[in-house]
Amino acid sequence: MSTMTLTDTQALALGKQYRQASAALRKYRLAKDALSDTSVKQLKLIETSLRDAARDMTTLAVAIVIDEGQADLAALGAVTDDALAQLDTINGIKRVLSVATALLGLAAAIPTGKPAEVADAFRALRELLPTVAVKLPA
Amino acid sequence: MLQLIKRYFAPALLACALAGCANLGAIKEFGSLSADSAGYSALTDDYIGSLERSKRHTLRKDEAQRATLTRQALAREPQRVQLQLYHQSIEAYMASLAALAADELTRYDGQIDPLVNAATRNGMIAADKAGMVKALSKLLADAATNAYRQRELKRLIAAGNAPLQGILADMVRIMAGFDAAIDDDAALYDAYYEELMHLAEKNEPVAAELLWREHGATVASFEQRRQAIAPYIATLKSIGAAHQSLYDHRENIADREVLAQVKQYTQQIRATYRLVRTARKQETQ
Repeated sequence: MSTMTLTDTQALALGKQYRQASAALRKYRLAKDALSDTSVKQLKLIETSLRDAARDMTTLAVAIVIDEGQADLAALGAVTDDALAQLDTINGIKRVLSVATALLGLAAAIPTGKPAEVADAFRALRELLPTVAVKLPA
Repeated sequence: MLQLIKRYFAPALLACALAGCANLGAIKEFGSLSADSAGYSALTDDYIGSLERSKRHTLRKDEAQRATLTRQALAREPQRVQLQLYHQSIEAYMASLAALAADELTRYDGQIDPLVNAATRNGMIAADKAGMVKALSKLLADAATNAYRQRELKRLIAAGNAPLQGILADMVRIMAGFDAAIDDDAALYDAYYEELMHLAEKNEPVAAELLWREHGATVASFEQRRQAIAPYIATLKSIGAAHQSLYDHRENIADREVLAQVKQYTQQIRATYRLVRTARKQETQ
């Protein structure tokens, strides 16, 4: 036994046909006053069922797209997570560069032998260090 | 100190020149606007809520029809979260694209300047050289981050293009489903209206007149709901085209022509997205 898989386009096309068939039956029924009560009842039931089926087809069409899109959603989510991590790294680089520059200042101050300069440079470096989340790019 | 600066900062100056210290504002604007428009979920809300709302177009005695609509609404409800995921994933991706293109990262001037000022006060750096030292420090940081940012943008666009195009194409297909949901609502309403009109025309001419008067407004409301769909599809397609263009030119992402093209797409997105919002606003009025 073979199974048939609907595409979203096919599901929407079927839904459209159901709606059209339901409307055509209703117009026929309303135009024929001589129909028996049983026939009217049967026709109404079919009309309603066709409209119900059309709505099911609409929901199914969207479900088909959603099912097929899961891999892309997961892939884009992973790419976005990676980008956010890189943003953190860029912020980290700026801070690391700040510290590197502060280190240069300290390196320049030490040979002068002036305690005030060394103290200033050291203080600047010490203040910067806690702000650095060291995560250098690969 | 100046010797140290020359030794360590000269490569940075060269790096800055090579990186171009580009202004990626066009990409930032594209990312921000796309994030905003992709995150627009009023059409999804309309689709999910339409089955419950359509109960008002059922006859009082037709409890079976309302029960069916309740069942169908419950079956559709889980799609709300899944559809939100579509909106959110594009929104998050575009926001990260905008953030990577933005030059609003942590400023370090406030940290460097006091250091240089202290060195100047203590005679380590001549006063007339202090400005240059600060400028060099900033160039060093900018060169490193610009080059790094462009590299990461290229990486992001290269990795993100295929899934993004897939998701955008899916959303366009989903919009066809939203359109069909309006057709479903209209079909239920037509059945309700024609049934009532059939009864009223025979026995209640005044009721028939009142029904007919209501009919025009109801039909117009369906068309109003539909009006936002076409420009939203156009918005999604422009986002896809702009990103594809960035992908195709990712090796020259800071190129003036590439950025000009992105700007054009951004204008298209802004125009069609405005139509979406206007259509929805008119519908809710």
